[in-house]
Amino acid sequence: MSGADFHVAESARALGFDVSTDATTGVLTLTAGGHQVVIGAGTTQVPVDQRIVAISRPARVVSGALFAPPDFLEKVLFPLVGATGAYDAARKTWVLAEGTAAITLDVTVVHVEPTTQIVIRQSAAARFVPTVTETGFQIAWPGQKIVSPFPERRYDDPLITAIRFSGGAASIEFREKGSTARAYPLTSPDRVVIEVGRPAPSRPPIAVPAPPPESPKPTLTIVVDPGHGGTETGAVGRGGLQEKDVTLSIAKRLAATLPKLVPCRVILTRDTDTAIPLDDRTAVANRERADLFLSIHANSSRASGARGSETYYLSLEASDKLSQEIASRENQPSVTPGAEPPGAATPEKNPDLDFVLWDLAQSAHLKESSELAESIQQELNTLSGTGNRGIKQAPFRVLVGATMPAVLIETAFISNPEEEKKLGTPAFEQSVADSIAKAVESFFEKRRSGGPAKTPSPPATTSPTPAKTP
Amino acid sequence: MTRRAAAILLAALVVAVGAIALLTRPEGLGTGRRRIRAFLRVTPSPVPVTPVAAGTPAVTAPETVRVTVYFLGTEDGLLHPEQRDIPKPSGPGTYLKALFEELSRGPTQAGHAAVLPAKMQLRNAFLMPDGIAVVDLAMDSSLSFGADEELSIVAAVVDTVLQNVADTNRVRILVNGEPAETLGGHVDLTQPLVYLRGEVAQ
Repeated sequence: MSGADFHVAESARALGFDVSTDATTGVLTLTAGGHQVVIGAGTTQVPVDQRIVAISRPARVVSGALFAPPDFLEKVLFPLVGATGAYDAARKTWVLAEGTAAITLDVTVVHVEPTTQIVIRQSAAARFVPTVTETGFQIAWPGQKIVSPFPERRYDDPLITAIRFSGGAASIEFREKGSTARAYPLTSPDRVVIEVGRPAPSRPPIAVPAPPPESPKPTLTIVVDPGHGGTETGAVGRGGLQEKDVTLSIAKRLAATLPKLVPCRVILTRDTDTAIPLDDRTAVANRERADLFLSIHANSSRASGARGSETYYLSLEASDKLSQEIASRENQPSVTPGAEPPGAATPEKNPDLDFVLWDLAQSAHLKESSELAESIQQELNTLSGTGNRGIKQAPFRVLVGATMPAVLIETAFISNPEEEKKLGTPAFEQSVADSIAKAVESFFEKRRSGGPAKTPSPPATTSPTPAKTP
Repeated sequence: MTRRAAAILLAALVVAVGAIALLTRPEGLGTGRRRIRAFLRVTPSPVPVTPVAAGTPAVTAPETVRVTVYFLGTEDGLLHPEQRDIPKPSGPGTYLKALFEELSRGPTQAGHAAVLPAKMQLRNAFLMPDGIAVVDLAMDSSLSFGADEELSIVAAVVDTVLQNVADTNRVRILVNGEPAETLGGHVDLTQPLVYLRGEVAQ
């Protein structure tokens, strides 16, 4: 036996073990592929699964970290994951034979209409290759030893029937032929996310070229959301004007004005003075497969100088490393372009998945949302004559789950006595509605004329909504 | 070389560093001892020099730390920092509470306004081992906010905590002891929040 003591946690992680530390005793539990090793300071007896392995000298704590003698590596850790390595005395490092360390996999399956999401967690980053097979979808980790969680498991899921691990790959079996799937990697923790969608509505494969539909003018769906309502008043002005009343009045006017400028149907999330949960508002838009979501608000601030309109779209800055994850996801080719983005999801029990589903929903539309915000802000600046306010980003809950371009419009400051007075007049409310409608019209106009570049996110090509961007 | 091999090499390097530490450290140092997590990002502020009159006992000034607290610019509606010295806190919980107290106390500089409404109190605050600070707010049901107002409250709490508390990367806000969706219908509190850069004056 040769070599100096090594840092247990770091080395175990490099070998693909999950490491958990008991906060009081400092004892480490290492798990990989169903194996469990428990090691603490001061003992040579190491419990490995159901047996005890003796190591040459006790592990020790140095600067808060546990160090173990090299035979712990050779006798215990290497065999469990099928790795081999040698100590390089000159460099004072352990060198592992390349590709010998296995990664451990763990699978979670969640169905949120209309998508089944399969998350394969990896104990370390690894390159994977997705392939469409005759009966489903396969993820392979070429040249990589894997420790699979099970050989086969059957699922009572609307879209998949089973997942099998064999030959260094995971095979997902579809319930229906022609289902779509795409895979992308996420980090922290490292994982592969596979989204399985229903087959596209079947059309006769050999058809006489059909004549174009009679009325080719597409109809759009726009959801207008009057902020707050019921017991939830929103901001209240010094004169007593309540945000919930202003938003409802402007939203109703907008609903009447929009169809005159844009061929669309408008759905209001509320048309009475009632309280509606934030997630339900977005869910209405997702269920109706809306093309736009416009949330109408009136602002307030403790800053006395605050006045004018603001248009917000979602900021991912606040939600962790998500933006980076999206970026890495967008650099990965998706195998089939047909998969839909997660739809009107009901929050699931698994917070990790919930987080991914909801946040990915709006992130796919951020670019369009910013263009829409830009268009609206321009019109509102013209209306107020200020022109110095730009669009802003914030982590607003009502925007997070929207699967379409979505903005939150702060029409004016109810906290500013002058603007409060204006907000209470039908004339001003109508001119705000007119400005927003005009902005929506020019947003679609720009899209139709090929305008700004399409968002680089995976497209929702199977969406039956005919009026998606051209 | 694959990414995987690189990761292993990195860990191997850590092993080497650990081995050196083991060889050079005196036996038993830190063995089995839990280390108290450092929570002060700020450096202790210098003890003010007070002239001592002859014949009177020298008064030892209590140890203080300098903290940065965010308030609202009355004109631009953005957050602006103010620095002040507070007594050195005894632990992370008391430190978080002291920071909140400074936010509640309000600004001292002209052109700054308080961010927190008077009816908003702190129920509890503590640090989690994974770098998340938990701030539990007591909120009166009569409170209601506009979007900018809510955004500046959340940003002032989050940014003040992250600015001053070492090794803390996110802030989870609870309302009346429970996870909450928002304070008043706007800012998403279901996830721990990171530094809200967009709300701070540059």
